[in-house]
Amino acid sequence: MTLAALRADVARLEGRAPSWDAQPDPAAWIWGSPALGALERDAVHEFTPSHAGAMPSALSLAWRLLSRLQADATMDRGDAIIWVQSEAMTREVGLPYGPGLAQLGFDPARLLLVRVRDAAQGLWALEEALRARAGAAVVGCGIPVEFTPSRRLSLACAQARTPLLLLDERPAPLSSAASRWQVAPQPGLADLFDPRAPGAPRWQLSASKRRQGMPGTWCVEWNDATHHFDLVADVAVGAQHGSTGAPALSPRYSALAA
Amino acid sequence: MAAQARPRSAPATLPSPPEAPAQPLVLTEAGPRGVRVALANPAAAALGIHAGQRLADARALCPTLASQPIDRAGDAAALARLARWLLRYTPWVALDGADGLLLDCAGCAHLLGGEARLLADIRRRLESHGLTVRLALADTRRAARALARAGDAATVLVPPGRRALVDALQTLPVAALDVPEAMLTLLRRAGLSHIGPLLGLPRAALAKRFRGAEAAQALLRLLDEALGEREHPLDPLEPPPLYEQRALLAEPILERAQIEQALHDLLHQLLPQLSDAELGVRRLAFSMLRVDGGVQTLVLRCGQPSRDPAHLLRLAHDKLEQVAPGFGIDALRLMATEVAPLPPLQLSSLAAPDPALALSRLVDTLSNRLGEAAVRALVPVASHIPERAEQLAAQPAASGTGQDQGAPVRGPRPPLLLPTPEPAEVMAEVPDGPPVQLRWRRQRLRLALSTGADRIGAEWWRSPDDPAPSSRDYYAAETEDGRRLWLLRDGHYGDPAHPPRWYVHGVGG
Repeated sequence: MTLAALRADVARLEGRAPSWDAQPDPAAWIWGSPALGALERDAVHEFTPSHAGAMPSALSLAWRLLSRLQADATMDRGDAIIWVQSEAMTREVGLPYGPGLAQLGFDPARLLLVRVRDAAQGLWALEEALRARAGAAVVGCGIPVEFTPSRRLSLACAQARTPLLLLDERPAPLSSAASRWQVAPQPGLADLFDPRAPGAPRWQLSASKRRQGMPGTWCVEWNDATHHFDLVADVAVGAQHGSTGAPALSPRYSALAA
Repeated sequence: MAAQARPRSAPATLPSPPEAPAQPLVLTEAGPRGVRVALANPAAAALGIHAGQRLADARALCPTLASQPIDRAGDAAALARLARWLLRYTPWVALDGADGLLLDCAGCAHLLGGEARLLADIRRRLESHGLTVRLALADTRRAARALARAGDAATVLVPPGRRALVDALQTLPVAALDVPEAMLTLLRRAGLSHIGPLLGLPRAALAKRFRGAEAAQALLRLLDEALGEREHPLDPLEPPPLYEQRALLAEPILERAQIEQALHDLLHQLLPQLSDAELGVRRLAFSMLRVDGGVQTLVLRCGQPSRDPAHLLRLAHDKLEQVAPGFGIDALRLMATEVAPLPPLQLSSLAAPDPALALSRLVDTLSNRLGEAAVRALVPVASHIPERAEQLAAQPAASGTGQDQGAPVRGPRPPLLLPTPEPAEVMAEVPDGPPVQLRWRRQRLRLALSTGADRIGAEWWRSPDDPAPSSRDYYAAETEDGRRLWLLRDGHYGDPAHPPRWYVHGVGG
């Protein structure tokens, strides 16, 4: 048996694409930006805010990512999102608010909110939600997941072919998640038509682990018109809002100019 | 048929050890005129001590008399517990006064091999709990009640038929029928102290004999009820469920697996009945009756009516952890206490996975364990006050079509709304617009970009007495480090009555 065949076997056993530069799974869930690649639909993905107070920003990113998933949910799985949130997180960031979610492009009518008291209840609820195969995705918000439960949840994800997003401020040192991201809010540009109003939101994403694609750091911006995450070029990141009198260009045009 | 078990004199909570010597014992009650005897045991009664006597007088009759205060609330609770436990025999159980229970056992006796064996079984079980029991079983409730309370024997079984009933009632005092005191005096003066002679009199003569048509009618009604010529419905402890299955087990069970197996069997008996009626379960109650007289009931709720035994068993599985079988469970009842129409499913529709059904089952599973309030959907409400524009409701039945879409939203809204607006300390104010710098949750925030004000007026129709309901101004802002906040200003600059106060009401964006 050749080395390539052995590598392919190992990759299959580990449940990842055969090689780093292979084409992503066509059924995968993509960010909308070619550089960011895809997220597996049958795995756990961890998102950690970069510092205390960045959780709302990380959640806003997650909702936009989920709205992309809702848009192309297949009929056999429905488009419901099962959102499991701990009481501690509710005290800190409040509860999801429908009118605001609708403005992000996420359909609040398809959100099932499950409030849990502690980690044990949260892990149970997450596993039940995955095994029920009832929604497009399951989200755990503020539920600490150690290595063994994360392995268990990964297996449940693979069986149900449903993605699980975990958002917690204190991630465990080890995890069996398919990808681990750190999310930091970034100052965005002003609105194109109102130089004093906030425009499209920006985040800095750092992947410390990915099964598909390379780890790295990117600065992304949400594009409300196309419902994609756009990569922000370095020049545009440096451009600070409102420092000059002229209205700042939209980041796509900035990227072109660079 | 009605049977009556009457625990006499001894409160049900106080089992008297059978081997104890019969010491005179009274239960006492403090009243306005001192402590009086409420109940006396047979040994005390033999000495001439009776209820209503002053404790001091009773002590004079018997210096070694033991006494305990009576606990009427505890007795009532114990009697109600006993009544629930007796649901093992029949779904129709009612309380009768402070010391009696009525059971309608029509159609139930054959399950235990006849009426005599039913009474023997009741007696054996209640006596094993240390209760003194008087039982009577007769065609009518009032007759059974009179026989249990005033009959000679501790167990009376009246065979069916009017003749047997009349024979059994002949020798009972009239007072056993609950005749009012005034009427009783009149009857006694007429020499009618027993039911037998009363039955012999013509009705018309009886009605004429007593002044006041109402009193005579009341007496005739009692007699009619005793003889079954007039309906005397039972007021049951709990309304008997429409769909019920019960199992009396030969051996008490202790293991969770055994309970689950028994539930499995009962479900497979109950669900075909529902399937014939095209009904599904919304609420299922599973009662476990213990050997020691305890009752434990599990309640399972379904968001959508269900007839799937696997789903219902799964819901029960999580709850069976809480069951404490004690010395064993020897009777089980499974009741569909709430049902809803559920048309039969076509087999083809079972083959394809149905996400809506899977979701409603998940809601059932989660809410049975976490509580119903923990599993909610976001439902829009037609109000422009942000915190009222949404409520957390039970999961809507279908996907959100055709429901209330809420009030139209004008300004930006945050994806996360804090439970209450949190005060923020303003460090650098700008007269017309949001502050440049503020302190919130012990953090200093510098705002870089903001939009507003989005002015939201108060809902004046809610508080018509308030002359000037305050409006709020909302600003959506981004801090220098990219975090987004939804700020609320209450009050206005230049208005001494309402100086502006700032709050953070939402985060994210």
